[in-house]
Amino acid sequence: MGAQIRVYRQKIASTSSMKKIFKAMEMIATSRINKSRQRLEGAYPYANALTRAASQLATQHSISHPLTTVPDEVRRSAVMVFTSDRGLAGSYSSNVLKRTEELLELLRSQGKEVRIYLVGRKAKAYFDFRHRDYDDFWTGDTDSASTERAKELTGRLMHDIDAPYEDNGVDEVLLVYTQFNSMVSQEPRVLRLLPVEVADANALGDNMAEHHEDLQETSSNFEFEPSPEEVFNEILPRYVRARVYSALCHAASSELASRQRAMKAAGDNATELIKKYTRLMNNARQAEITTELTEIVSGAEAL
Amino acid sequence: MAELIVEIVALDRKIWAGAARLVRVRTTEGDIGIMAGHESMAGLLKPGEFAIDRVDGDRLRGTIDAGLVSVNDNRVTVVADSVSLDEQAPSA
Repeated sequence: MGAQIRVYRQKIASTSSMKKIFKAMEMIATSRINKSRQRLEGAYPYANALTRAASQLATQHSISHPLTTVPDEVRRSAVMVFTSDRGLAGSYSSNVLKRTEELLELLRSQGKEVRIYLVGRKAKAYFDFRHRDYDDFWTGDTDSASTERAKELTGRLMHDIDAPYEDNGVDEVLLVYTQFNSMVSQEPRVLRLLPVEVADANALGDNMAEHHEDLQETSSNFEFEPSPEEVFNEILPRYVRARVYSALCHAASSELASRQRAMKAAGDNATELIKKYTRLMNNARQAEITTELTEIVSGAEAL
Repeated sequence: MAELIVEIVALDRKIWAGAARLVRVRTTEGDIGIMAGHESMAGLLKPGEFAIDRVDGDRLRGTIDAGLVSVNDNRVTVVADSVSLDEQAPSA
């Protein structure tokens, strides 16, 4: 007797302690997300300024640069995957990894070799667990984008794209990250980072279209110091870095938003569960009392 | 008097934005001063100081390590890798 009550009491205790964890995680995510969104906003002016400058250049001069020329045949692609370090963020990391799997399958079916770069412990764990190869990884601080990390990643990617094919160089670079649309909508997406498409001057990056009109008016007589080529050489690496940084910002904001949502749901579920167990426990207690009473009464009657 | 619309941006944030009369930066070719009506240009910046004469008469100074400057239709954009402002600059 009383075993059932004890079981329910234990379940309630463990659910409440989990609920505390969920609550704490939710609050941490909530407090960080605003900062992360500010970072995301802060990354736009830089990227836009570079996009403007690069497209002004491209409209006037036909410059061929290794970073802008699409090779005739893409033999090897680099794929960089952005996931989180920690779990408890709903399906955030698994969505990115699912998208990555699709992409890898597609690339391999096209006969391309793939170099894989992983950002975040979850991606590393996923590949390790399946004994699959990857070329490099970065872990730590996935929930706060830093310019240092962006520089590091860009350095690696630029090194790979500059290297010749025979020396493990790649012909294109793809990023898989989660686009932060709003607090309630984030979607995994694939972005082709390199080569940058400037050949079509109207389509350097995604946010190019809005600037297209004011370009038309003023692009006629643009002066370059010291020379268009040199300016271009300086713009491109910065542009790439800006895109990588923006991917990091998007990923961090998405991670926090997913975590906040997942933890909110988990907390709500825990509350429900505690309510249910409390009712069951009361039921069991009542049943126990009833049984005891019946025993006493029937015992007394037997005398 | 015509004004310049100036924007200084770093990778992770906008450093300063506002209206100005004169922007002085150090490009690889030497120091240049940009005033309203300047022709469209793009230039590389060398590590060095910059100064912006704001419309309200104050002068904003700072140092830049490397970057680009672009001028287009009285809009000046300074894209810098890292910037430090000499004094506190209230963003306009």
